[in-house]
Amino acid sequence: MTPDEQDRLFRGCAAAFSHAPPAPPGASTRLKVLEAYARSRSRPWASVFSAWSAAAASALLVTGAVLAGFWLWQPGQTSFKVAGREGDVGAWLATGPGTALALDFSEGTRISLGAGTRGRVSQVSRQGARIEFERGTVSARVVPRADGQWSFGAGPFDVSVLGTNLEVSWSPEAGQFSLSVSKGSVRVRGPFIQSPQLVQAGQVCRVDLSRQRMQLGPTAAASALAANEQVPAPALAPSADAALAPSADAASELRPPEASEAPELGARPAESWRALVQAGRHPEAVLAAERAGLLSIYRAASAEDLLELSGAARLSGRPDVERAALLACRERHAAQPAAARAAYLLGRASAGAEAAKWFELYLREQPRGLLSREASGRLIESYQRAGNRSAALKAASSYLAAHPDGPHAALARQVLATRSRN
Amino acid sequence: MPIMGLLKREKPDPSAPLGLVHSAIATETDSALVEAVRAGDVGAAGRLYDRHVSSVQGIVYRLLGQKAELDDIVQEVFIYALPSLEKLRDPAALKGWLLGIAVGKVRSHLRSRWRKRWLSFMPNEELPEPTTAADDHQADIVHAVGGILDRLPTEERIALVVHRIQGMSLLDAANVCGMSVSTFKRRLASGESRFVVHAKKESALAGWHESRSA
Repeated sequence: MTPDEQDRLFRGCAAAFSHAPPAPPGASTRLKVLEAYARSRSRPWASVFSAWSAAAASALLVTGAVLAGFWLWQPGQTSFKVAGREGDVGAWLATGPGTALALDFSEGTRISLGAGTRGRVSQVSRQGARIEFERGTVSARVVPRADGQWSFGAGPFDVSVLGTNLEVSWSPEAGQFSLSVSKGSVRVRGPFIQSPQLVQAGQVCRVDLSRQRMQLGPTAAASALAANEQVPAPALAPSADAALAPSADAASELRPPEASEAPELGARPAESWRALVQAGRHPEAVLAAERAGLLSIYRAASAEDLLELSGAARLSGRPDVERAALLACRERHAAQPAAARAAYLLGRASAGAEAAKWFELYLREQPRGLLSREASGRLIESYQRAGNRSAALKAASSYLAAHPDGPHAALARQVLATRSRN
Repeated sequence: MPIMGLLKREKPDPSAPLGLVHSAIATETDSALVEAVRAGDVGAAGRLYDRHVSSVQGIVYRLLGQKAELDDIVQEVFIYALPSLEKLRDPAALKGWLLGIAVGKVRSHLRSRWRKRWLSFMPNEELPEPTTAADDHQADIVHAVGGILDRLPTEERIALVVHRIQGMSLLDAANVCGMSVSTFKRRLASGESRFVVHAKKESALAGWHESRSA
């Protein structure tokens, strides 16, 4: 083959790859990345630990064949059988029209793939497994355990099981997702579901991507709801209304779990969200706060607790809870310095003109406060992003007068220089 | 209810902030993103992911093919990279740094796959993954290339893909692979020779080649 032919061959290969790009990673991948990042920030020693773990793993590898056997053997893992034969993690399974396939797990859980379903068991652990499917219907009877970890990935939707019987359907062609829970409860994340939505026994959650709608209602009345009572999906940009003034369905999510549900969730006593915040377990803290009832926290918690909760929500990628806690802090503790701090944090959590409004408010309430220099600097940035040039110039002048050597001084001078040039 | 009253007062204009956020994201440099993540801004971590996930997925896809592990490796890249941004000396070089991590993760994956295959004394019987190819001919080429790459030594495979398939310059490709340009060139030449030998036996590639030559 001549060099030219070789070039043509490789160009053709490269073009074929560009012609057939893979589907982008789902929302669940993004969520896992951000959750892991938030966890790593609360455990700075983790990277040191992982370095030691890596060294230990390398040492294990060089010990050769003896340890290799151990390396492949994973004691205590959940295993499963497909139609009576040992199932392989990661292997794709598919059912034809009119056929179903049962997956029996070693700890008693049974997962059934309905007709026309393509999916796989993508992970197993001692606590459970993750089942992902591209299309079709999967039903599950999960054996409740205190430390059980079962989840389902259906296209861009992610369902975390708390011990339950459920059925999940996903049609990528129609963009329709349906989750029906007959026992226990689950949390579902995905498009047009603003925060992890709790779906309890007797409820069905449906999302129609083409119509950008999500609905949650009783199972028996689901078909009627589909025709008559569709609820518009929450706005993509989280608003305070969505967080503090939920619909009747969302309000049920914020209620503490019913007493009868406790055995499904396991006998482990619920940890206080405050303790979890103190321990740096932010995503878990937010979930615990949800279980305890976010509305009651917003209405009764101290200013410091609300700021703590907002911080945990920020680190967990939950801007709805972050914002609602800060607004509640301002509403209920207006006379305290914490309210001004909440204004600053609201500015940091907002963009452009809205952020500027909060930073202005902080500076009015705490002109010499601990965060005044930072608020003044961020005010310049906010007005710049909002395209409000005159306000940005004014903010830059004020900043340089008060903080000529501050961290935003260069930006302030840059803003003022554009005025000189124009 | 007091809280409801507050909400009405503070409700933002639904159109303005969203547009401003998009415009701010569009103008945010990689350096600014890196600084924001280093300062603990989880939102910036999300924006960094959104900006670079397709590049990372692209190189992993070309290196590995449409395998079940594709998304898992993309996920591993970002889970490693975000807390490690302190190690990035030049924040403007973020993309190359992320691609280097992706190459490293794929390298580990390929070696681990080879070890498992060797230890289990069994042939690799992975089911072919479904492809999103727009037509069967392109899918056949991708499949054939993947089959040949699976037969190349890991380092030669990586060198060939990042330069020939991903289209990176020799210098960038060598950097991403963490080796000198001369070493990279040696591996590339060796990989190309092996690839061409196998390609001559692949009907999908031969057909493609003939159709272009005709």
